[in-house]
Amino acid sequence: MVVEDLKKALGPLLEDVRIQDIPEGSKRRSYQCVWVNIRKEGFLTAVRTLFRYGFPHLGILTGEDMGEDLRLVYIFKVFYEEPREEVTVVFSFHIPKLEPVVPSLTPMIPGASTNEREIREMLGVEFRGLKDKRHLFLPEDWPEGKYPWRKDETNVEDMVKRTR
Amino acid sequence: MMMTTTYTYSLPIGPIHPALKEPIRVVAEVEGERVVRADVKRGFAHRGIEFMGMKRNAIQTLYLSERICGICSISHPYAFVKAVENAIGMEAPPRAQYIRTIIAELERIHSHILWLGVIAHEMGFDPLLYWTWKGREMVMDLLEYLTGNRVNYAMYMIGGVRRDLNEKKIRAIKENMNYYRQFNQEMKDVFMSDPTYKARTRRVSLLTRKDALELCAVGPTARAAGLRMDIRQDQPYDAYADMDVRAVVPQDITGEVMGDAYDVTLVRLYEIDQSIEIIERCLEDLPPGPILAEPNLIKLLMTIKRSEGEGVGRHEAPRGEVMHYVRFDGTRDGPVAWKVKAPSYNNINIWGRVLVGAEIADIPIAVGYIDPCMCCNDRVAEVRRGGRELPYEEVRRKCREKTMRIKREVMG
Amino acid sequence: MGKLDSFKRALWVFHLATGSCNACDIEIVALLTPRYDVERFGIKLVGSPRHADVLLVTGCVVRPLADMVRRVYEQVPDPKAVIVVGNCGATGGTFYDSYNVAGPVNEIIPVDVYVPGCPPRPEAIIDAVVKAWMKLEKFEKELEKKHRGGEK
Repeated sequence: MVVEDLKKALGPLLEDVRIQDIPEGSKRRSYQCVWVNIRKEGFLTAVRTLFRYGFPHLGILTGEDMGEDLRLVYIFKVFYEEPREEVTVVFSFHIPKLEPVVPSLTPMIPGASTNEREIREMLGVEFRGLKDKRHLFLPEDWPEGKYPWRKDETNVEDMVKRTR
Repeated sequence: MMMTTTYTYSLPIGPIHPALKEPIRVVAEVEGERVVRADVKRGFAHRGIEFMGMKRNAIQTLYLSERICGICSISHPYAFVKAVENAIGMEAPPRAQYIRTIIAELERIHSHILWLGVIAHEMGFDPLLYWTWKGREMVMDLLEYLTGNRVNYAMYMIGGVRRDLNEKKIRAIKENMNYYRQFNQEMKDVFMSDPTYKARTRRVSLLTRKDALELCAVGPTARAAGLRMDIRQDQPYDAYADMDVRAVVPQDITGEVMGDAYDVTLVRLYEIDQSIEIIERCLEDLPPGPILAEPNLIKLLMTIKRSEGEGVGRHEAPRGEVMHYVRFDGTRDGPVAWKVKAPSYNNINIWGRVLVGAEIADIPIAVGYIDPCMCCNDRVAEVRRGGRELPYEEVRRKCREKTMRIKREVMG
Repeated sequence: MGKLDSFKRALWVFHLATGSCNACDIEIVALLTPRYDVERFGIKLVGSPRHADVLLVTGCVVRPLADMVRRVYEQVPDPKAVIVVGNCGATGGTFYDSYNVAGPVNEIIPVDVYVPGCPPRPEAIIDAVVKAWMKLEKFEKELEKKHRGGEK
């Protein structure tokens, strides 16, 4: 159901989709995980589609430095509160490193602020519409333009103090 | 004439504060006795764990994940091994899955008792702290017997567990469960029949269902607000998939949902009962067979090095949902991307809401409410009230005075 | 070091978490509870470093806390002793290559006793406190001797 709705809502913005059945326990009853690759323009539409099934729970927002691009991964769960019904939905898309801007989810999900602040300081992604732009985990006096999760010249390898 | 004086507190949730072993700073603006705005600064215990994990191999990262948090020291390895197994398409043998579940539930018992003691301490019932923690030592002994250490058990491995259960150990678990069935009954009697405890926690730090959803609350915090959200029920994994676990929510216990500190207490107390049941069920159905899918660790690392893929692993930790995301790219034997989400990461969000309108004397309860376990957070000894230093001790003293006042009123 | 001469007075301990993972901290709290009950020996956790004789430090000292550790150390009145509980405070431990670690505790303040372990057992922590106590008594005796010598 989720997959059809997403296909209809996103159209060509949906790149590919994979449904994974994960068997668990000695009886090997399985649950589903839906992996969706989308284009960055379709991101808000995709999240709005999930709101059809109730308030989606944002599990993880993470990102990765892929060289030229940054890849963002959003993990949602829908149909929770029902035994064995829950489905994990993973959205991933690429944004260019030179212009790392994505719309913020905070107007829809206020709790996403924590996640976005973390990714902002770790990867240098700008969230358009994010009100709270202070550092989350890193200290206030953190040097400008240093991102721990980047794998290029802006990373923090030079700040590591090897204690042994 | 309206007089508004705004004091800004920078609360150190005390360095020996058992609710917050790790540092975090809560800044609450108060007018008189009421909190009007609350803000949280985290990050005083940020160690950059994900950054280190992305440089190490998968087994080293597993041990690193165990050191994210020392209270729920099995929750992070659990989510991590599930994520890696998901990414490389490996499945743990049934016996290992059952043992994992048993250890995870034992941990839930000790963690919930810990919280009950801490919240009693916050209120000024120190004898209750000592009594509950005396009971907690039994499960610590059992965990030490089963795994070899009181904390940081090093029990899980990608594709299984590292130590098996034998007859003697199974008998020890059974005896322990009998003890806890009785001990939990006594705890329920104490916490639920005491009028002072009820008066002190009813309607304190109220969380509505809507707020819980919007702020992404998880675990007992969300369940106390009436959300039937429990990964063991929604998306059962390992041995939970063979049984029907149901989320413990206050509407099933008392018939109504308040979403306050009292409801959280109920949820935690009844979850201990649930854990005992799950453990006994697991022992009954414990399947025979191997405990590791790949006993040769070098071969395991080579499998990981050759695999490409990403995975999500989740575990319902005592404090709520722990989620790990890993990705392997087929070039190295460790994750190229690793993200950890601890339950308190989400649950700290609710402080901003539940603290507003609270009395200063209720701050310790509202803060302790979510059972904060800030694996990535902070605390500093610096408190100000209009330029004057105000120790957190004073806030806690106020909290205890209120308890005593209520006690006198209730007891007549 | 010899044995503890006498229980002249209670020993007050200030616990300082500097980015630990909670494991050591919980074991320290467990020391207060009935199984170990260190208060019967007069060992007491206090809420302010100004009241303490011994500083109990856990954790690898993350960058923003390094200054605070120094400040707290200065606030503890002399004679004082510092105990480091856990591997990560002693050497950096498993967090040796983090960007946010300012180094093991001994690079920030002088340390008297180390307790290795991840986390150490409660008994080991009691042993460390007693060792620190003996050191403090030795200091005190030396001071007394010096003082008496000056009077004559």
